[in-house]
Amino acid sequence: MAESPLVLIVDDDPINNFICEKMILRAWKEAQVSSFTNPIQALEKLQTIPTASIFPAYIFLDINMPEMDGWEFLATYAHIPESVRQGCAIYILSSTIDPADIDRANHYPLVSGFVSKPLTEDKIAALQIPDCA
Amino acid sequence: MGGDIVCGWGETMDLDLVTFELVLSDAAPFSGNVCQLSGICYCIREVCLARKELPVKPSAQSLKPALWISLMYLIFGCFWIVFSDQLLAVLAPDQRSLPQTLKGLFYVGLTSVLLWGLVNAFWQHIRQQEAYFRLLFSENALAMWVCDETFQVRHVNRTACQLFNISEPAWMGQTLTALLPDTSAQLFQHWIDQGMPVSGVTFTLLQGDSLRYVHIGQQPLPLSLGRRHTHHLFRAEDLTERMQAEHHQERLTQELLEHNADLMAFTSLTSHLLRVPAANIQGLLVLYEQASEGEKQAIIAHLRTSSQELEQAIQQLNHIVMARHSVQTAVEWVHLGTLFAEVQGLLAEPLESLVPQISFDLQVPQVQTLKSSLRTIFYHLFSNTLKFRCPERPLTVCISSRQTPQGVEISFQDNGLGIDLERYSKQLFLPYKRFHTANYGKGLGLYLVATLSRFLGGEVTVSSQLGKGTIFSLLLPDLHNQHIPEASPATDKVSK
Repeated sequence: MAESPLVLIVDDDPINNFICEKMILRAWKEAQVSSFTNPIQALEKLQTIPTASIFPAYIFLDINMPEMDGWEFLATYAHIPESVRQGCAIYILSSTIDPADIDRANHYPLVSGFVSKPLTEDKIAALQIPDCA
Repeated sequence: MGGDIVCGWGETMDLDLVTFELVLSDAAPFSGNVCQLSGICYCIREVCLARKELPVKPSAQSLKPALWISLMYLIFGCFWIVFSDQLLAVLAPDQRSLPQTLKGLFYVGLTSVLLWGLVNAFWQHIRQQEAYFRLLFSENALAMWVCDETFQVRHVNRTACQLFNISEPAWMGQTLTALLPDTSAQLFQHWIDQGMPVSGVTFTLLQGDSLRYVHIGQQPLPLSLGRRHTHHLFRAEDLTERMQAEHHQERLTQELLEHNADLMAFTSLTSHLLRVPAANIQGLLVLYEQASEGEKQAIIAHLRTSSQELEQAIQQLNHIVMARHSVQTAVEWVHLGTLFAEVQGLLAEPLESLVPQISFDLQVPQVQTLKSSLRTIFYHLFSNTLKFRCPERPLTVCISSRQTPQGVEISFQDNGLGIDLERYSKQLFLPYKRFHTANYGKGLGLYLVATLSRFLGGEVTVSSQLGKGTIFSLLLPDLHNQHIPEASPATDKVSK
């Protein structure tokens, strides 16, 4: 685990973002967490990041969001240069119980895994954290 | 012997199976000996007994011909004996003998009684045949008619007269093609020209206002009724009720499939609606366990919000479930203005601060529909109008209704934010879709509107310009074409 990982949360539900921030800070005391309720703003922010060193190490992404859903977010995210985003692991964080959504998340090339809401310390600990560059 | 009598039993000797056939080739019956005749008499009697269940009773009238024939025979016989005796007395007076005369008279008397019995039996038999004919052909529930080789009608039964609504005298000597309406006649003629395939022909027949489906089949009758040509027995079946039942079945299946798809959507909707606040509450409770005092207050506030959301979700689901189960609700006349006033009452709280300008143009003041469903549609359309107003200008809403060929169109026009239809038109009426980040909603309103519109037999359409406003139009079909309540199958027939 990186010393002070940058974590980004993208979900239109502020309560979920509140829970995630607190949980992540409990799991990784050094983490720097930021959250967006608007996926478009989150993408705009990511697109301005020039180097991998200050790119988030983890993104927790919701599927059901107004204006742009999680899959649309990922489609646009793929256009960010790979050299910048290569160290980032994206987890789908959703309340869905639709097996199709879960299956799609588990097989989506850019996605590292599926996490069912709510995010807890146990679930964070269970994530297969990839090596960070 | 001038004729043959053919009598046959089934192998079981069961009297019900007795077949009896009589072929007379000329008009001179019964000159054979008494033994032979009495045997035949026995056969006839048995056959008659076996068929006594047929509705033929020997009435006074039915006995008359037998009586007449035997009386004629008796009178002629007696006259002949008396005359021949007188003649003999003149030609050879010594040969005259009274006992001979008496013997002759007795013989004539005896044979006339026998003749009476025989003719009576045959007369009964003919009556039986008529009764059979009546049961099998004339009164058959299947429409039937017999044509000669030129397809001119020779016999027609009652059902056929009723089915085609043509009187029996009108059929006779005509071809059916001449009697049918144009399109049916062409189809029928085409079928005949093709050599009358075994599958028959089905065509539609318009009788008054109702459309009937008639299937006609044919079989050749190789009878040689004094002619060498083959006759045809046509039978027609009214398939209307079966077709209606099939259509009804198809519609039910379609409804079931739609219902199933709706149920799937509903299940996923339920999971979303309830899962989001429930997951939040779970997460918040986990956080609460190790939270500092300062955090606890924020957590409690979020808990309160989440539990309220849960409550709202349950209410909304209840709305949907109720909407789905309101099939039995009676259709009634709903006054649009009054209904809208009710909806305004439900939205009194946001209306108090907004004070929108509402104008009405109700060319059709009332519609016949399910009030509760229409109220829910109005509620969601109006609450959407309020939610997605443009903050820079005062909200104006125009509610109008007008008659169109398809039914009554009710429109909600506002000057709100508008919807980017190029991006969202496909998803607009799907559950759990939201198109504005500015206003937090469940993404359910328009899904409910679309579901209920479909349920009412209508549809909802939208036109919008981003930044200018939105028009939602609800088209409600006129009730006599509508599916609620369960329309009788006869009213929605497809025409060919």
